[in-house]
Amino acid sequence: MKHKLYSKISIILLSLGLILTCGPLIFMLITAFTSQEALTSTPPRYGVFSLENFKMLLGAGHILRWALNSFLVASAITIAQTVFNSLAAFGFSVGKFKGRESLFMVLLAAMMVPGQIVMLPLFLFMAKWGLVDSLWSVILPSMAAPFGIYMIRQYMDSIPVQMCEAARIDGASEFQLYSDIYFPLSKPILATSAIFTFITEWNAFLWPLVTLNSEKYYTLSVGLSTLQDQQAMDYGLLMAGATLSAVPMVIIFLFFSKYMLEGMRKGAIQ
Amino acid sequence: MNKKRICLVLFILVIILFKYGIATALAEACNDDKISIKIWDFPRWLENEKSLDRFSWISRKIKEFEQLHPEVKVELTRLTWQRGYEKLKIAAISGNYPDIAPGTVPLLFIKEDLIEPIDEYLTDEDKKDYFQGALNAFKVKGKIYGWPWYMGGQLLYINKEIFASAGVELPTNGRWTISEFEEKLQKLKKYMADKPANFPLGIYFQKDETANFPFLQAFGGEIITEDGKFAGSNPEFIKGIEWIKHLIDEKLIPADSGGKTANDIWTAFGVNHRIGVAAIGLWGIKALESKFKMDFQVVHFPTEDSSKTSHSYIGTSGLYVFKNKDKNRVKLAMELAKFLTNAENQKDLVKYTQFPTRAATGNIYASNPHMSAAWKILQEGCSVFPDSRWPQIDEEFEANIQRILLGELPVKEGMEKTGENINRFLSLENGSICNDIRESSLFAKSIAIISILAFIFALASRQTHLIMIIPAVTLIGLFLFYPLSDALLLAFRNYKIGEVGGATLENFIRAFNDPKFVKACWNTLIYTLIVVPANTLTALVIASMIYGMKGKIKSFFRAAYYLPGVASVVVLTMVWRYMFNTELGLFNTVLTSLGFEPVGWLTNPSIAFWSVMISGIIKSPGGAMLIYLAAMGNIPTSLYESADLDGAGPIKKWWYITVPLLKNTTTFLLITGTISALQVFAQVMMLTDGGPGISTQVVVYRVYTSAFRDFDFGLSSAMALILFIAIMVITLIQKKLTNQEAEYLA
Repeated sequence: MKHKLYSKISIILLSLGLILTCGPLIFMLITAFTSQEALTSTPPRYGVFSLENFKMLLGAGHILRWALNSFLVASAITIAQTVFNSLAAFGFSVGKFKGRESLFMVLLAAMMVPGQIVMLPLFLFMAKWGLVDSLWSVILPSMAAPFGIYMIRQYMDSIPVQMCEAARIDGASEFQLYSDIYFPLSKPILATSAIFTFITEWNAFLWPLVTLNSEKYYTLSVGLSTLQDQQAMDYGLLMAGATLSAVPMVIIFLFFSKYMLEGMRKGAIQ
Repeated sequence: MNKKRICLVLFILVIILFKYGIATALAEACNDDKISIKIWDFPRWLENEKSLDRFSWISRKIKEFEQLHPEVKVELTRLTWQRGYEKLKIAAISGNYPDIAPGTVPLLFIKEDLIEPIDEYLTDEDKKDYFQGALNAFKVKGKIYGWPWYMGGQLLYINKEIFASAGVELPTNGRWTISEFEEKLQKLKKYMADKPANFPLGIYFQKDETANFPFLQAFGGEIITEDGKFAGSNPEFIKGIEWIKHLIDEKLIPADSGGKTANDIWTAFGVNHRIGVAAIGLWGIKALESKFKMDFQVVHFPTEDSSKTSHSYIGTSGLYVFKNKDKNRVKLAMELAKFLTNAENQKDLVKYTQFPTRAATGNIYASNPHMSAAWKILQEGCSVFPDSRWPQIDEEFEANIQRILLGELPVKEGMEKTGENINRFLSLENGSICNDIRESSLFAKSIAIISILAFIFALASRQTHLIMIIPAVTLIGLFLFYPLSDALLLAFRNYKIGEVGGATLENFIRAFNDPKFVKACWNTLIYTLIVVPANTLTALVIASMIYGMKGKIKSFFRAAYYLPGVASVVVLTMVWRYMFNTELGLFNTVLTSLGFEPVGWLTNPSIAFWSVMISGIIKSPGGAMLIYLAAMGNIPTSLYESADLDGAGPIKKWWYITVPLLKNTTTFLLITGTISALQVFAQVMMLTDGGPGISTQVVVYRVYTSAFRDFDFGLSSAMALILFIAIMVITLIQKKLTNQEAEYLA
């Protein structure tokens, strides 16, 4: 009885909170589906339904190519990070070698660097190796991330050591420990960190803009930005573009969230 | 292991697509022995209203040029207005510039000796044909550094509908004196008395915006004299400021005019028709004619008396050519730039509503009365102080004008102080930095070598754990520590002319002498202290509530709370800006309908930073929530079951089991939250741009502007290093404190 009351209260509170956090998103959707004319009239008439903005965007031609580029970049980075970050996290969590903690602290320090300061020297470095203006220039610098390593290690530290020892007695190699025990058990955090990475890279703007020159390599966020005028912002188009780029994210999130739930149940059983 | 197979397929897919991409790129590179010319351009006008391609004109013209010169292949790079200039600057300073780039006279690049003067390629005929003002705009120390393409400027616009309904006559011949101007505004005010949020005039002072300077200069003052002295504290200029303060007292302009942005005023004037008179760029004519349908007129800025000329600000844009060892390439680039800006092609500027720079183009606006009037007005115009340090001067000047108008500074002392700061910039002549930056330092190189040596060593050591760590460490070493060490060493370099090189602490002294940086430090600290705990707490509470649910409701809430996190920060911030708008925003509409006074969310200097923090707090708790949820899955259910047996309620269970067991996660989130909050940047950049005054400056904003706007990499790196050390110290303290607590709990 009491439990039901609590869950009802939480549902009400959570719904109220949703209005706050989803407000901007709803506004984005409404603007995206409003015709240009209704948006520029005084006062703007929101909610006059129209697909005009989307038709214009999809007629711009290269939008699919840009989306494909974004997808390639974001998925390549996500896959690379999942592999490299989890490997490193496992090494830091289980391994016992000299200087482990100090090396870890150095990696943490990398998180404390504002990305803006590294931009110019990194660009120089990429240019020297002839990597500018290719998708590699966007992928390579993000293939491993200190934040991901930190996050996954934090989770792996909570996996009981006894499991390791038992497996070692059964003759498992260290790599098997990683691939058969730690990797599957860390699925919830790996999924979480994969979603993070994918969304961040999908929305990334400044670095792809700086390093890509040919239109055929533009990512979605850079490409959409070439459609904007200097002064009079076209909010309808902007929001439609944002909606289009958010849709794949929503789909991917829904796919991954099932995966996370699965991992969580397993986590609860152990 | 179905998922594994999916991953494998994905991975192969990626590799195939890349191979394909690289192969085509190589094929393109090999099949070509043509001379390739690189041109970068910004999005321009739409040739066809149904398409969104803002590059169709230049693409067509490039094809025409390629037909005339079959040996040439032109590569066009499409820039974006948003941060496009940063891309250009990074390319230029790193030596990866195109052959041709667009813009106003590139003073910074000229100082770095990157631009080829066009004098050699300019015939006497051309010289006579160009308007003198246009050529002068590209003249630096006797040489001309670009092909002038189009001219624009800032104009005063009148909403004729409002004037007519208020029964106010338009200024005769578009000219008015200050007293006539004020008189007409007073009449408009009477007419608007019963209309909330309507004003006779709207003004704004914002970085890079010169539109309203003519009001300050109405009594004959100027900001910087021709010989480069600050003149803002001269009596004529002070009189101009006091007159604007008088307009505020008379309620002819909003009380928070000091905090208004160009966007606010454009929305109020052009979109919502709530302002009678406003200063906007030339682009406004086209927007008001075609999209926002208004009956308007462009007029002169008011002058002290009818004999004086008005001072609209004009600007000239053109195409400039970068230096290249290959003289033939330079020659072809010059020809292309000249071709794109020739009289025939300038006729197409009609669609851009900018003025041609060559007399031979003829009067392309004969049929447009607004443009013809604008042309006459701009004839009397003036330009900003032509110096590569103008952006710094401008930032300081506009911030202090904002503060004076908002009542934060007294007029006279405020301007005197501004003068002191500006004279400090003017006395500091920085030397060239390009060549120095292109060479990476010995320290940085050794980091790269260490990364690679570590890789080899780990492989040789046959320690499985080390080998597992090494790919990530090598990647981070190469792509983060190597460039970082390069950047940070600049903090100790001296770039004054004549004494390049050598270790110095001067950059740090300069950083702390700048009131903007000191303010930025405080703001960043306050932001972190408030936003991080708030965010972590909301994430914990929401995650706990969601975790307690079952089935579909659980999945729904988890997805719904995470969803807003998928939209880009740019879009979310834009919505926030709209909601914070003083006159039309959602918050003030609600407040006024409840009978409260409207709040200047982003225009009041004592509130603006709180608004920034609100936008940092009310957002999707996404990431942190998911991490909490993942961690809660690891809490053994047996603990809760035994608590149930003891008869503990949900809140008790939460407080005594969930919260303490999530300690590690909370520490993790607090630390990572602090690290990213201390680097807050995007919201400030998009919501307030550091203003009004200097009230919302943050550290990374200073780091960013001094590097990519001013090319002052020494100062920028010094500030970044200070931030880096601060983050490190705060994180260590945090870690220590939470560890102590954990021991106590145990």
